[in-house]
Amino acid sequence: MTSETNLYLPLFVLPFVAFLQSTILPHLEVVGLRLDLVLLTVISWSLIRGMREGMIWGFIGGALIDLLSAAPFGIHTFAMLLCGVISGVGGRNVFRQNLLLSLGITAVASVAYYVVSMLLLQISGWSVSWLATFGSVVIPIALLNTLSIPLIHRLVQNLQRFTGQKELSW
Amino acid sequence: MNCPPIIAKPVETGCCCARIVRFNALRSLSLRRRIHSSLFLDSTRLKGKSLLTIRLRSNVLTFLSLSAVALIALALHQNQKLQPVEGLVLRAFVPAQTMFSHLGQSIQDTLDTAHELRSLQAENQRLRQQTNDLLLSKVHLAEVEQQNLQLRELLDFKQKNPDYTVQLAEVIGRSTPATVIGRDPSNLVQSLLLNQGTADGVRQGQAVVTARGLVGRITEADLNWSKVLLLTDSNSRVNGLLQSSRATGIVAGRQGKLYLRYVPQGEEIVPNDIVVTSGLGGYLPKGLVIGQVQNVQQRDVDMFQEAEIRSFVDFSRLELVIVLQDFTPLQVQP
Repeated sequence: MTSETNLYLPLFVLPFVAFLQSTILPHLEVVGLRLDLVLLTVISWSLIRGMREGMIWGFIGGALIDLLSAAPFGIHTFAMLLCGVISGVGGRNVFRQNLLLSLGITAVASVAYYVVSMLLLQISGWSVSWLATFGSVVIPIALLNTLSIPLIHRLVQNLQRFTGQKELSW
Repeated sequence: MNCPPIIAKPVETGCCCARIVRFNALRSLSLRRRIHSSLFLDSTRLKGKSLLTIRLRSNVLTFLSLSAVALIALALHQNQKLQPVEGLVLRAFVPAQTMFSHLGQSIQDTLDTAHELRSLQAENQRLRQQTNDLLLSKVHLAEVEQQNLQLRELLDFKQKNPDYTVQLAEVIGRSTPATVIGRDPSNLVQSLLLNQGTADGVRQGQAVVTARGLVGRITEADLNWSKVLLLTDSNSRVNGLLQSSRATGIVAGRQGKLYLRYVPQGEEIVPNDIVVTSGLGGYLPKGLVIGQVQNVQQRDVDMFQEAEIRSFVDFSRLELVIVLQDFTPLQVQP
């Protein structure tokens, strides 16, 4: 690792992103679905800075989503933590500037995020209609997230340069 | 890596001694290089391997620790033990959330203005509004008529049974207007975040309404915030009553839509009939408008009928809502 992990940065950046997702994005919904801005930020940061920071960002981002959501606390925290791991592994093992790779990782991480969230919701006693949710929420949202990642990735790269953090390499 | 110097031993073999000494020296040098290179490569490999192992171990430890915290938090939330901490953090977030909400509203207003420039759409909107208002007036009139009928029946009942004491109760009307300051950031759950909490008398289980009908119920409340699970969420269940046939069922959300389920086969469900809360269970007041029957799904092989309901509430544009705080369930006491 060539640069130290900054733990304060996600604590400043992610609440801002979570507020945007909760207040402004609902007004900009696409066919009733809204972009997972926090998830995309976590995936993007994880691709740039590696698995360890991806996990920390995922944990904080998920906790913020849990705070603002009516779902039981911990569900999104765990799901987004896993997404940090998935993106970190993908970003570590292959050339991370590859656009196709970013798109692929985002699609996989988005689906994993929803599957884990739904599973934990069901374990917590909430009713989940798997097939219907997959068709009307998970797949369209994964597609929307995948299409939006180039833009978000660019913004996160700028943030990373602005904050003076180096891109990690193995 | 420093290697000890290799001294070529002179071999006393007469005239060829000089050539043999050189040969031995060269062989030793080559050997030395091979050993050196092999050792060096091995050490690099060893160093690289141990570094990878340490980093992998560190990542696994981080993942396990964070996962443990997340899962413990989930378990604590299930036992209602995390609410104080959650409440405290969210309490601090409410001002920022409110600020962002205003910003979102401004964006919404701008978008609305752009849309409203299209005169046809505006006209259409106005007419739709008018239709809804007329429909709601009709609903209220029908509800008053039904109530009148029921009161007459009760009066009749009381006249026939003078020994019984009949006590009627209704929504007292103490309510709190609350502003929506956020929506559920997850696409899996449909809820709202309100800027009114326990300090304003908001409690878990209370009904949230607008002039157009029922919105949902409070699922969590803290000092200055509360969360509302919308009717359209797949975990929302409300006892519903068809206004004309008085058949009851359960109004449940599914993929952002509302369905009246578990209506027995013998009951009649007519399209455009109004569904109101039945008041059964005592959690919600009776007579709150839920929506209008759109289409009926009835199959002889099923035990129950189902109907899709259209709510008069636009759940995606809620700004101000009312939290019904006090109501006494309708009861008939002997």
